[in-house]
Amino acid sequence: MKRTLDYLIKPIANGDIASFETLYRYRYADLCGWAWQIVGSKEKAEEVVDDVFTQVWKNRSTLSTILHIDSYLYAAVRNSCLNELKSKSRRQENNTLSVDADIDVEILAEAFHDENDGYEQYAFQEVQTRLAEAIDSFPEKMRNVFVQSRREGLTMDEIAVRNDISANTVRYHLKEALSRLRQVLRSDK
Amino acid sequence: MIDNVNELLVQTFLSGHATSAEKQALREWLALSEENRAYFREQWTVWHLSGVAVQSDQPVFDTDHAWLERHQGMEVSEGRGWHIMWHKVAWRIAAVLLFLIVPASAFLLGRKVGVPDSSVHSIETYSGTHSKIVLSDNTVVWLNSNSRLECKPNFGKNNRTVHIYGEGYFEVARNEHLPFIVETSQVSLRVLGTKFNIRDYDYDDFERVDLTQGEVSLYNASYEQEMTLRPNERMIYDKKTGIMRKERFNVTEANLWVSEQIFFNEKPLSMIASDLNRIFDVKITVAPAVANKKFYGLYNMENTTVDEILNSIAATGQVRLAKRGNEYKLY
Repeated sequence: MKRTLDYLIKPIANGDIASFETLYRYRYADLCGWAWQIVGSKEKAEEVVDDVFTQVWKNRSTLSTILHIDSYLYAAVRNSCLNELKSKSRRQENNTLSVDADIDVEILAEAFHDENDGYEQYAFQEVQTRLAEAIDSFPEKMRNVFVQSRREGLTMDEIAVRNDISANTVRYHLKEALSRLRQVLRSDK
Repeated sequence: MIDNVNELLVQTFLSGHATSAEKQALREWLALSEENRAYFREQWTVWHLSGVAVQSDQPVFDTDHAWLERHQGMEVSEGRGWHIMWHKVAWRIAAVLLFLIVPASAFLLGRKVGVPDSSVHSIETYSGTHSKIVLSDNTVVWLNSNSRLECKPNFGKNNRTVHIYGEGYFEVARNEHLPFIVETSQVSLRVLGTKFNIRDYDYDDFERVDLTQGEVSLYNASYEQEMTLRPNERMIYDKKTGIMRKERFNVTEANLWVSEQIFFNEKPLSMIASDLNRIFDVKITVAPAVANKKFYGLYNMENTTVDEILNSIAATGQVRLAKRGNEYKLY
């Protein structure tokens, strides 16, 4: 059940608070989940998402140039989260243990520094629900491997031992799982 | 084409197991081409998005609460907060009046009552009361105040179909052969045996179903939409736009009204007031200046009066209470 909320762009740009409320109610929790995945803190996630909505409302007059509201929101939340990670790693500058975290931030900055981040081509509507459904429909072995990697943070070798399969099979399942999920993200708008 | 080595490198990084050397290699690889970066961005995005689906420790994000905080800030700055609130209060009063004039074939005032056969097919509760009902198929229903439950003729024999107005918590007895169907103004819900809460007051803009156990499927005829819920999932249906969506919720907060307790966990005063208005059938108004103040409290409904609750809130020194007849003002 994929619904685009793009019809809300115009009324919001014209200052209709009810349309803004609709957008907020439909996407707040999903976007918080998205932000939480990136920053790992509930409070930060809520703060980031609320700030993004504040910006949407404040700059609503420029909103009409946006094609897809969900791509816009997901990209904006992601950018704020990446900035948050960046300033967090800067705050911990003196801490020698954070060298690795610095590299993580640099990797993300390198990957996302382009203006064209590709999010316009993705279908973000109800994306978390759709991904959950796709994961449910995986063959059992693939689902187990993916969930153990994603939820329990096991390494590929650990997953191989636990499920009594080869490391190559684990790799195959993970690769196939991600490729199926990419199809969900790319499915037509 | 992305080769196997780099594919593995990206996966290792995403799963959080990359060594410093691997991270360094990844960084250099990303700098090489836009194709590499685009591949990484997509993998990173899918990885983080899918985490929401598989990670059970995700916190619950309270949309109502967040909106209320924001909404009041926005409205006050535009100087028209009161219109919205009065509008809602007016609807609430209208809804209460409507229920009072609807003839009831059976009404219960907070008593626990068994309905052993299918002869009774309509049960109604008024403001400030709620009832526990056992239907002939052994399904248990807690009906919240201002609600009405109607059973279809021959309920329990050749159908298990009910219609609800308002709010009810259901523990449906399992029967594989006869599905239990709940109809509301917008959505019909079909189950075999589960526990769920359904809320569709006519003054609510949103209709919602909270599932605590089992599985339910939902169907909305006017938009031909279907949805399946799992435990801890909530369906929210927007009556204005016809959009149905799903979110996660915290079971412990969902059906507290059933246990005859009133529980505020850092809830804004304006929401507390609207809950108390419904539960005790009183009229509490909240000044905008204090509407956003948050309170914590747990009360037992059976031996607590609305005065006691309001006095305990006022005793915090954060707000003041004025009373005239059945009307209260917090300011």
